[in-house]
Amino acid sequence: MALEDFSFEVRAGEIHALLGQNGCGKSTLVKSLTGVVRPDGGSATLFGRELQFPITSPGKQGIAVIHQDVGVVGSMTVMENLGVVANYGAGLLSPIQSGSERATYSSLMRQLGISLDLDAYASTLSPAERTFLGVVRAMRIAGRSAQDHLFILDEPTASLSKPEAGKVLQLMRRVADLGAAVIFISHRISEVFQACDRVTVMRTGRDVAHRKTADVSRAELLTLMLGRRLDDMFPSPPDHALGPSRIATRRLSGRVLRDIDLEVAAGEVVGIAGLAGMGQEEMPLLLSGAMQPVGGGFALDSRDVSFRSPGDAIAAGIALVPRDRLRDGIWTDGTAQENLTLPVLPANFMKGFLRHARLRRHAVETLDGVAVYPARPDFPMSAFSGGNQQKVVFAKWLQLRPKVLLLDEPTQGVDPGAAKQLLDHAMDAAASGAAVLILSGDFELLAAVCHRVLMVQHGHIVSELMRADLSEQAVMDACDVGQKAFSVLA
Amino acid sequence: MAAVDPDGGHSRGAPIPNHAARFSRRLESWLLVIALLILIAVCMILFPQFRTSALFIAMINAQSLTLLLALCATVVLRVGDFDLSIPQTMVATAALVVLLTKAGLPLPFASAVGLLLGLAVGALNALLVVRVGVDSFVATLGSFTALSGIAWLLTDNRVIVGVPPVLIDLARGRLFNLPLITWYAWALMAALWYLYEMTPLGKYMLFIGGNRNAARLCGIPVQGIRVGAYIASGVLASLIGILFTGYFGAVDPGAGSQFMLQPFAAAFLGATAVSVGRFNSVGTAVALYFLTVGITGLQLFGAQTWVTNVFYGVALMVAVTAAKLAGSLRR
Repeated sequence: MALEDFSFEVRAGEIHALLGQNGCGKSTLVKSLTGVVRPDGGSATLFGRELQFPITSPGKQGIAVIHQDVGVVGSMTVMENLGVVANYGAGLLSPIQSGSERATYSSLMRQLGISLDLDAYASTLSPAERTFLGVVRAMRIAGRSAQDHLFILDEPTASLSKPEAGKVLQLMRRVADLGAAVIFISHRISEVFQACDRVTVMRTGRDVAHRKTADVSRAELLTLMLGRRLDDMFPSPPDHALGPSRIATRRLSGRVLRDIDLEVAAGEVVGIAGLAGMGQEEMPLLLSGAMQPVGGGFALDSRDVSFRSPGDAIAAGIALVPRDRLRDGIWTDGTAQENLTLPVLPANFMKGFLRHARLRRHAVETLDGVAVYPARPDFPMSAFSGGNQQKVVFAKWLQLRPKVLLLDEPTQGVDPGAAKQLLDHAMDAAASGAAVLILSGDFELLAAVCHRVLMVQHGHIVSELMRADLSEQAVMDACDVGQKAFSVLA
Repeated sequence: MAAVDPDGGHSRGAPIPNHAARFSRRLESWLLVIALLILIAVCMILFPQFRTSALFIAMINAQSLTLLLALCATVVLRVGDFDLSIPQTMVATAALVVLLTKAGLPLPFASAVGLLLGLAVGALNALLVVRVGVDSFVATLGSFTALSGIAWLLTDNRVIVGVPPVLIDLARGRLFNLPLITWYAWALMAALWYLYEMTPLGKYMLFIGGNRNAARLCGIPVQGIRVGAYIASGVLASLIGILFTGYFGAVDPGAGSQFMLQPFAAAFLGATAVSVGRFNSVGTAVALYFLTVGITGLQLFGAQTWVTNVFYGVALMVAVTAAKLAGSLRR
């Protein structure tokens, strides 16, 4: 039973946050409301109507879910993606009335205060716009009017940068103002405070608290979520004298990045912030051999290097934790042991045979060392939560004692408890002399764990914030100021 | 249990570890072996012929060539691609080698040319699939078809006879009452088992087949290994072609399509056995023998020859469905 005696109440016109660690029952709750799972007991009413479980067509009942992965086909247009859930307004084999379809969507978008080019290919949409598409689509299923409907947004901002997330939160507000009830599920507590009226905290399948966001503090929410105090959400970077230059780029250029000169010393933690598409996403790829520089180069330990493949970079002591864990980080059907021990297979190949017992022992020790739960190396990666998967990825690289640790959105899709543990490991690596480079859209994280943060705009480094001046607000302002400057020029 | 879970003990989907779960996981991987043994037992009870060693020897020998092809197929399958050209590379090489020896070229040179053909086919497949990025199913289906045309051309649409006696002995010579070709098949099975289970390269191949992007970012030379797999597949198929000549004593250019379904069916069925969900050598052999015993039993029952393909097809569908269900239950 993933849910037990769960009760809560969401009011019309309010945005209600649902907070909880991975595995606390949030997705089971959502699945119960959308008919994927049948609850064993209990009842629910929606705007006064009693809901019949199992719910056979949530759309007709007035319930719509927008998932984190909106389910968009890039090679189809926005309008084609929108209409897919409503049979394009026609019977299965009848002709599509594109005129009335356009009118429907235009009016929906007007109501919501957004605008999307209906004829653009979905692949050109920014991540925030994809979420907008999901909301418009959900409104279509709900019958074109937000009133008397429940919208559930499941981690819609997880892979969005702060400013993009802000747009989604504004949209949620519009939807709520139109009379709907909105449930917002997220790991980002700051967004909960920013946009939500009330919050329910879940833990191990139960509702442990209901509060107004105005009446509760972040520390209290975390304590409720974890069932214990979490003293600091983020660790601080090591307070020590920095070593010699570990990695130094010289006019490094990629497809978007231009003439980047940056230097990270041994033991230093440097953060990189920027809006989506500004080029900073190329940095970890260029430094790890996954992408070839278009111009310029970089030096490792003051010696010029050039990597033709990720294998070269790894051999030189550079480790990359990629942004898209499922696509680039792990083999989901492989076991934790297989994923973890991949880089050390040659070291365990003795006298012509792979030493399986040795590999297994090593895997058990390592998994224990990074507190992966369950510490079962023979379980497939798909059996672990996002946070635990990421711990396996970290452990895979940290076991090699890298000189340079490149972290690309390391806490994406990871619950706060696991996120802190991961960042602790990164800080430990810095304390032992590694150079750590972190890319993140979570400005609060960057402000907390970095010695300094660099801002990237349109492929250039536009500003730098030293530790003394670092705060979440300062980083956000630095990004916005740059943006305003460029929009004036454009 | 070691670590205490800060999540409160509810990681997504992970079953609580216990001996029963571990036992059932191991059971799943040996299911096909158990099924084979049960099937043999049933046949021995029903049919007196099954109680003779002669029948077993006949069944094993009849499948040696198919086993070689199935094992060859696992190489490219393991890295996540298809090589449908294998049976036709075999036939084209067989035709080429026999024609060259009949034209007067000494056997070692003719064999070398045959292997070069396999190398060329492998290189072409690798170019299209790995370099250009064409879908492997389509690309190798294309090379399969092209090669069958070449086989027709070389043989002028006729069955070629006159295979050198050396080649016949190479395939049909006896060792402990079993033809050499059966021993070669078992030797390849053992060699591939070693490669797949005991070397890092075998694990790298699995990873590439599992998630190519992640494998690349982990430093595995993905393109190199994929190209190597196609070339190995091509050369191996040529080697099998040379054995083909001795095994049949003649080369029928149309034989390629007969050997299309069975090797791949065995390889896929074998991927559900021993190492569940992963292409491997021992599982492929067990799967092939399972299918053979089943068909022989049906034929002794009086079933017609068409029953072969029906049985292969149905067994394959049942097995991969069961493996998929078992896999998703595990999660």
